[in-house]
Amino acid sequence: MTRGDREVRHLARCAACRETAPTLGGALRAAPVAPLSARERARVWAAVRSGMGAPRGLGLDALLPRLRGLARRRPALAWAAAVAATVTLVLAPLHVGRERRVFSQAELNAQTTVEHVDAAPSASVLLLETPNQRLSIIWVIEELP
Amino acid sequence: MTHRAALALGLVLAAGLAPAAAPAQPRTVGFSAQAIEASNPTPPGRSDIDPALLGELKATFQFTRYRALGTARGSAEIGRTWSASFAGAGLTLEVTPKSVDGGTITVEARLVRGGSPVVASTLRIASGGKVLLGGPTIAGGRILVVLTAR
Repeated sequence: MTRGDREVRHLARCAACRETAPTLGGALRAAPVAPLSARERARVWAAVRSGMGAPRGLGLDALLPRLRGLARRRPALAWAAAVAATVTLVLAPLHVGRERRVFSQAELNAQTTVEHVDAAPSASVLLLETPNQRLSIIWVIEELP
Repeated sequence: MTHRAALALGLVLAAGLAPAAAPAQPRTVGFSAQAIEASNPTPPGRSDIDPALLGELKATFQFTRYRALGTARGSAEIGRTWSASFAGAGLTLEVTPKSVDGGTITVEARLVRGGSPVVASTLRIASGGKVLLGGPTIAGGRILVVLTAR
């Protein structure tokens, strides 16, 4: 319950306050108020100036209400952001996983293929592969003249 | 804006948020070519190549000694040729990268002796993968060239 709510409930029950309340504000305004001294005035204005010069909050607390307002006014934009976030969250781990995969030498060798070989007319060619490291070998056997 | 338009906008935004999904393919390919002499000396000498590779070669061939002759390193742009000469063997390795597709490099590799190709091949090498070209006779035995592309 807020302070305002409490005051309303109290006024509903308290006849004395109901009678006083309408005149209270006028009485306060009519009461003489001493003017501020030069020192007090300087302190007030200094506080106002520092408040005006302070940077406006750009943190999450300031940003979230604005985003909520934007999402209410333009729900399609909220959907677009949600789709973008989802797609990025799904794709990013796949990409990072692909980039950081470290292949062994045998795996790298196994992915290596010999597409085409031509040898001199006086030579023969054998294509071999080593048993463990899967190293492709192009072995040329030259006929001696 | 309809839900369909929102979906399209979301997909466009997601594509923009994942710029690394389609990285530009490199235009230059690095190569290394390790020359090895395989022979059967009497008495059998000591091999001085990488033990893992030595085990693979011993499981495939019957040479008793594998001696490292040296390693040449270099790079070439797509369509340009990088060559390494093995002076003692009278052979030159010529490698031309033709394309790079993801992690796979397509190259044309030739072993040339006296200007004439002994063998010419088209290879698809996984980046970091190796291929061995060998067999030509040299003074001490046979030459093997382990080609790596990345």
